[in-house]
Amino acid sequence: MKVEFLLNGEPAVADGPPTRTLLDWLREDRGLRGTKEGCNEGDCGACTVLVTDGRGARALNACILFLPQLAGAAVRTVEGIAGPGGELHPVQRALVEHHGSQCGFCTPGFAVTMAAMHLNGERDHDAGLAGNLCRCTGYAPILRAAEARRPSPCPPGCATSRRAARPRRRPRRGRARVPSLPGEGWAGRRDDAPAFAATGVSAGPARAEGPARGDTAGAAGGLEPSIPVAVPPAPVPEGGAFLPESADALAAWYVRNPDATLIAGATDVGLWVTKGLRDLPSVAFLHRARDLARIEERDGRLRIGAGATMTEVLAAVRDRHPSWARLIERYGSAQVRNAATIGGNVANGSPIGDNAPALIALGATLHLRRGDTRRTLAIEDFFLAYGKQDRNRGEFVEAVDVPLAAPALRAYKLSKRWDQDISAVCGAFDVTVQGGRVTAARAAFGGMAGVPKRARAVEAALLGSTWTGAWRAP
Amino acid sequence: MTAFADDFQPLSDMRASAAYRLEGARGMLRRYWQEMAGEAVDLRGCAGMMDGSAPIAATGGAGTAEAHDSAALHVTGRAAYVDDIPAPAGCLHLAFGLAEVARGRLVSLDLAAVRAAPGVVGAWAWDDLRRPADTSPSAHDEPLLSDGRSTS
Repeated sequence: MKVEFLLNGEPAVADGPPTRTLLDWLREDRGLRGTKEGCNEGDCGACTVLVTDGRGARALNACILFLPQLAGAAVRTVEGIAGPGGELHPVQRALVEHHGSQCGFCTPGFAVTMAAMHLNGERDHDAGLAGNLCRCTGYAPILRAAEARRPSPCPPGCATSRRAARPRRRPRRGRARVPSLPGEGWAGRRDDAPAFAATGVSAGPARAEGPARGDTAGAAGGLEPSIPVAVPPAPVPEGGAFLPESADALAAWYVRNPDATLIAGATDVGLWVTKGLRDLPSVAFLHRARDLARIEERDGRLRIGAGATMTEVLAAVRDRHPSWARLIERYGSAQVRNAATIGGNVANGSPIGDNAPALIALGATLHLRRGDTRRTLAIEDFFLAYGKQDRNRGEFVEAVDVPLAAPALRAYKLSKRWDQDISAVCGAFDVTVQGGRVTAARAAFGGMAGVPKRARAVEAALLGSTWTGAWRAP
Repeated sequence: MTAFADDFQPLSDMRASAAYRLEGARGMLRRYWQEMAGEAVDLRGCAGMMDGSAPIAATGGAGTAEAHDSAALHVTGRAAYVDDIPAPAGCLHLAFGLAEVARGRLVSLDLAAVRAAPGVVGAWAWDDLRRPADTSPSAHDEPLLSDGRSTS
């Protein structure tokens, strides 16, 4: 199938099977070998690229990014972040001046992640660069470079506010006060995404006129309304993929194609392909169903659409559920959180998925949908056994809702590494104490059983006990 | 102490043992208890992990800070690594047959099926080569191909 997007400011057409990765296509088809293959599983960040679409500008791992995920987006690789005359981007200059490279293999990834942070005005380099591994230079000079680029003059239009990351209807030309600086090709000219065009792709009937134009990005900021679907989705061409534009379109298609693999962020399915060498004969990519990614307050609860990325979830729960938010900050890396969705994390049912304990402790409700039929269940009841969830054929996770606040919620993670590691144990608690005695308790753990599991015996042992005096293990 | 055991019989794997997991889970509840009871949480042992903000020493010293001579290539992605060099036309690929046991004796080796496989140009074992297949430049103690005595 053919997928069109902007590559370093120029229109590009990528041709290949739907599960061809951007990294392979860049290196093998386009000869753009600055983007490196390190781990090929989204851990090391050597393949980091900058992707701008309706969700804003963000760093993503190209090794587990399938070509259809880029339809209509704008991609910048390490070759495309310098100015048109070859003048280095401030982050590139800082890396050179502060000795941020030694063998240089991880450096392109660091440069692109730093450029994305620069563009979005992000300052927390420890957090932002946790998804870029270096094994020889050492992080000290890299972090020095990241710090040092702050006062550097920015290329025209390379504003350092989160707002600047949002695609605009028109390029903001004429704002350059320092025209001799580089950057016309890099964020000076906004990477307006081209009109959606992909052959061999079934976009369903509810195809948008064009993505990313005038969209507002951001997690909790409200996404544009869904487009109603009136007619059945078009069949998917041979060797193609289904890219629904709405949850309705997905529901109608999936009930007829229940054996298909649903791909949201591909942070898990990507590894099925790159490491498991699996063929996925029938796939649907969900990232264009923007209504599936909506985060909103509804009926006194916070309803999080399955397609919301963990970056978007983090922004939405940072104030409401700060302890869960701190856990999410250790969930994968910036690149992974920018792709991974909460729906994918729940639906895959991993016993070590890091959202489930917090969701169970919060008393989350899961919203499942098959065709036009919807049902809800307590999230802990979704996880039946290892690898087995209470999900029917053709049924998908549409949303999860949680309370607006839970002041006593705390979530903890035990792993070998602080950042970007799989939990050995992940625990979450929400206990109510009145008059010194426990009147309500919810406790859940990941990594302790074949499923994320509610600890009912622990809860029972806590109920009625005192919450003062010496600690007594239940 | 039995409630956790009632709830969980965790597995032992490369990440953690069952006992460690149980202890970790109990520890989390204890930390929660302390936190909610307003007690100071004792984070000895994980203080290093908690503090990701070690101060970065200022650079300086004798001499001039010369940029790495490949730095500009590194940061722009123009530095070529072996995997970045396109394979020439007709390039042959080498693959090693690896032992399936960590240590053992190579009793016999039949490469006929490998040689007969489509696209295979050649297959060599240790005794097919005129010189010892050893990659050590000095001590000659790094055999590249098993000499048959062991596969350690």
